Amino acid sequence: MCQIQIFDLRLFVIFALHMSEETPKNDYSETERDSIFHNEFMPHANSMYNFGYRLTLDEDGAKDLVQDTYLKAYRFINSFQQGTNAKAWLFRILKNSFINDYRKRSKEPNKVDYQDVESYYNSDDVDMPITTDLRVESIQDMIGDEISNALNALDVDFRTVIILCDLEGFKYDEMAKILDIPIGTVRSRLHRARNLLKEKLSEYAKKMGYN
Amino acid sequence: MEPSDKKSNCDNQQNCIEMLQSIIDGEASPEQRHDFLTNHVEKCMPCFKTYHLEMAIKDLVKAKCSGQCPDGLVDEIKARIATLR
Repeated sequence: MCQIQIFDLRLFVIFALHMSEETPKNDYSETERDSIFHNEFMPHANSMYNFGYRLTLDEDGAKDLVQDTYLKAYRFINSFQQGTNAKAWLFRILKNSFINDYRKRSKEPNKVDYQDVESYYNSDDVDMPITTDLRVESIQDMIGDEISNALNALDVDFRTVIILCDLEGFKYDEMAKILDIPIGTVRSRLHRARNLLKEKLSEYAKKMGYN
Repeated sequence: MEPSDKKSNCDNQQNCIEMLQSIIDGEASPEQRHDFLTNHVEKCMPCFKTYHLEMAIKDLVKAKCSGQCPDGLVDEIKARIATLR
């Protein structure tokens, strides 16, 4: 067996263990599986694609991630409890697929690894807001591309919390589960992410002569 | 209260930042929200500015950064799932 196959097999086993440790297994019939998949999972396809795109910043990469996530969700559907938050469950699978599969495959040298910076994020201290002369009026004059580019320019871990919170409306406890981090870290990471986003938007505002 | 009547410095910035974040993200209770906005934000210029700027950015991110699945992706997923049955 070649190294890549061993690596893929190891990731699959880790994923299977991860999914199975959380909840007691169900034994859904085929009709129930289809119903859950189509009625509870598929309605989140747009949000899933957008999350995948914001993580990878690549349309093909996002498509692969979303497909992979839905295939895993179907395979492990017996680990999903009907009536619980399907969107959060799917987002967690997608995030794990991004870290374990996509990012290792793409080996982007300019990306900061989660583990390398985790000690920085784990501080629950909330730093002071940046002193910016950014005004509400400047923000409201910006078009979509400027906001989108500013968001995409943030490190992946920072843009992730903004997407989960501001775009998808997840609560802190849901984000903590999706990202496998404490709620205090969610709060501090979100605060830092917003300060960095304000810095980017302030730069755009200055370029456009708003301030 | 007019903006010019507000305090120019915040006496409790660290705690205020945390409370503002909780309010903006819907994590604070309705009572906490009402109490803080009425009794502090309306009287404190730094918190007043921060609150409105953060809300504007949050609203704009929601309005401008969402996206749609490419045509055909949902059908592709359904077709691949059909092969697993």
